[in-house]
Amino acid sequence: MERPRTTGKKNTSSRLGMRLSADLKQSIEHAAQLKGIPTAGYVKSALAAAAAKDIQEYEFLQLTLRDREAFAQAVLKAPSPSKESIEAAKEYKKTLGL
Amino acid sequence: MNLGLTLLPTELLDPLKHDREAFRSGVKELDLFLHQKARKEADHNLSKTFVLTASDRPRQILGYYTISPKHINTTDLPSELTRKLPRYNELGVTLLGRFAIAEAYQQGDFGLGRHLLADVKYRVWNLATGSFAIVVDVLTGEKGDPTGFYLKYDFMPFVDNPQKLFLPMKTVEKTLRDANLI
Repeated sequence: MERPRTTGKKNTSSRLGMRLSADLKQSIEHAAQLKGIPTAGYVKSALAAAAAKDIQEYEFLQLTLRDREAFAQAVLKAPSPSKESIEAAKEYKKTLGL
Repeated sequence: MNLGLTLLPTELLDPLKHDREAFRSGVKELDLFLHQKARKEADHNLSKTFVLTASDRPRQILGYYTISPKHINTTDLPSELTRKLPRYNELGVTLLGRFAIAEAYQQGDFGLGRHLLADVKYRVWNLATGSFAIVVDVLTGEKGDPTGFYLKYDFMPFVDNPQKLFLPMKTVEKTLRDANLI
């Protein structure tokens, strides 16, 4: 299954317009000023960071270091299946005539 | 397994072929997902939904599950561990996000849950190259906590996140070989 990707040509620029409250717009402009960068550039980099973070959180399971370590260990040294599992797979094969 | 029905191989949910609305597992969240969200998620390539049907009633959904590709970050693991991994920065897994059996087929002798979970293993093994495990998101709903069911079929809990269980593909592969499925 392919991950969703943006379609269209690489690096073509396009517009994203939206209405904001005057207060929000002012505080964004203020923040951009504090960083010393143009408002558009500030908005772009903030949105890019938020989007990357959301995609990362969606595509990667959020697990502790300890859990990920135990996972990697188990992948390298996988336990043998239980009798129950093998029985279930045999039954499955028989049921479907595979 | 004597169910009085001839099960068909699972297939992708097809709203024209399968009656989503009639499906009742007794867990509201799982029922609503099939009724309202499964198709949208498939359209947006977020997850795929597979359904279980029988030959004398091919429209009736007896059970379903969804799978989607995910990753587990391994960049910060000890290097003596990452050295042995096929890729040092991440491991691909298949998330079994939802799994449900129609209420009428949940009881002991029917064993449709057992059948459908075997199907998940067989499908994921066949389909997902680069998937190192099946990870299940355990949903405790109106029917209680299904963790025991998964543990019985070799899933292991994440210690810090016990709502998630995992099953290495190597264990799956051995299961399928021992059953002469592959």
